[in-house]
Amino acid sequence: MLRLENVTKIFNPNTVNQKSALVEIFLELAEGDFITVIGSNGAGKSTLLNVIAGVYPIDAGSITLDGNDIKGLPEHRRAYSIGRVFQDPMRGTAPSMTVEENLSMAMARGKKRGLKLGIRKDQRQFFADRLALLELGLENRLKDKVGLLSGGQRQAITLLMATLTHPRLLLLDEHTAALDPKTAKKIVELTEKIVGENNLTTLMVTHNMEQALRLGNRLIMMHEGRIILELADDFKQKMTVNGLLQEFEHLRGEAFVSDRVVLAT
Amino acid sequence: MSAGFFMQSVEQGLVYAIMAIGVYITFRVLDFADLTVEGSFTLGAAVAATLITKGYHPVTASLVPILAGASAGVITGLLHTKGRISGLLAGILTMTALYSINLRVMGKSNVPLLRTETAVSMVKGIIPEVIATLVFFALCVTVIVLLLDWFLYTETGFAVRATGDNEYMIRSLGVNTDNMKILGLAISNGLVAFSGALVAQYQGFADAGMGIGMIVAGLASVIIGEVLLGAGSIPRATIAVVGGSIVYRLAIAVALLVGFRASDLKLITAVLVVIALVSPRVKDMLNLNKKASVTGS
Repeated sequence: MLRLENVTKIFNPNTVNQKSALVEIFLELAEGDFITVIGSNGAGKSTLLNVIAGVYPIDAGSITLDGNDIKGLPEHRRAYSIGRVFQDPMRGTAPSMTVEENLSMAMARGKKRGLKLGIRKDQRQFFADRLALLELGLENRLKDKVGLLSGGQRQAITLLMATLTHPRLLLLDEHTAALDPKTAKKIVELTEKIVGENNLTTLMVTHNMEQALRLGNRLIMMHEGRIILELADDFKQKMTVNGLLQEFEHLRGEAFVSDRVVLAT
Repeated sequence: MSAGFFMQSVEQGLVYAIMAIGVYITFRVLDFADLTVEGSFTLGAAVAATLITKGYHPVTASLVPILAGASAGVITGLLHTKGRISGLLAGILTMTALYSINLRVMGKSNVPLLRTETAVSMVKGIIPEVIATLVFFALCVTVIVLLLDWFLYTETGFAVRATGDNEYMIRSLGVNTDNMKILGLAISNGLVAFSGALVAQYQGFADAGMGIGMIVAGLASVIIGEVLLGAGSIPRATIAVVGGSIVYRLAIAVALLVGFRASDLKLITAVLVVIALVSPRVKDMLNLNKKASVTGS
């Protein structure tokens, strides 16, 4: 359903700071795939998600979603069918607006926004039901401003908002990295639950290798803008964190460079 | 202060409140410091005065300026979003260009409206003259506040508010934030121009320099309103702007009464805004000192 062909992204071309963030990437996602993406800092993981979401244009290659070329579509048009959760928990919600206002804006994803009232009465119960699934007591705080909530609560709401309208594709960019361990665990559980129940096609970047192995049905490892390892379901299930590290050293002939990855195991 | 003096200040507070509401939309809702206001206020006055002297009906002469002001807002919006010019500079550029345009519209730097039929003189023919202006302006403000409150709770209104609050978020939900900024600027400057059109008819002339200092007066109203009445919800915030505008005009009237010159008013306004902006910080600092002394003893 999502297909990246020969995708290349170069930052600051023709300057001393030139950096090839993505080099001739080929990646194909089938319906219902849940792919975890790992790699050292600067490997191009976030850039991969950002070029799919349309944050910046690509320099070569093509991106198709459900057979349609989306390369030329601006970010907000791609958002019609792509839900996203960011690393920064502050980034996915509007702090000075209420919980229900935020949810209603997510409900309008891909629809024309007109002069109807943003929140209709019949939506409130639906919002409360969905919030109750998060088990954070947020269903009683529909009228509270989101800015009053904790980072974890905001990230849970962002996750809900990203998936509320069953987008064709869900992009998770290290969405638990900025949270404390307990909250991060909760968000991971919610991610598994929501993605599983809705059978969402998902691409999740993570620094946590154990998490990358446990979640999803495929795993890709990136390094210097390339995909250097891809594990299908059966291989992924047998793989261990140590195995992954050895694989990386074997492939690159160098020790894994990121302390964060090692510490996260 | 005599009753007449007081009433005049309230009238001014109301008619300028429409301008302040425009400033509220850009400054608070869109989080965009828009200096177009200085030009679009005069544009509204210039268009209204010119239409009236050309014999158009005062209602037409009051409403057409809204479109003129909205166009000015759209230009600032396009410069900022498509031209990638910083918001502040985009506003300054439009404002500067409008100075020439306003002189073209008026043909000279001052257009008097004495002994001509204006919206204000028309109303005076309908309701008792003493309260006519007050009632008329209050009515205009009420309609605008209600319409704006409603708009900011619509789907599009949500998108405009979210654009000012968290642009990344609302873009990731499929909204073209450029369009929302342009729309917000258009509504804001449309209101500012409408205010200018009414002020011209109220004071009996349009002048090329009448927009100078308007942005700070608008900010003063917004901030005074927030300090005095709070801004917990949208209806609360919009009413607070109106209240802030009236208090601001009363403060100016008092300043004149105690012997300041009209030419001092801009300085007084600037100082007022600084006090309002700084007072929360001062309060924090005082509280901090108090806490420190409590734990210290």
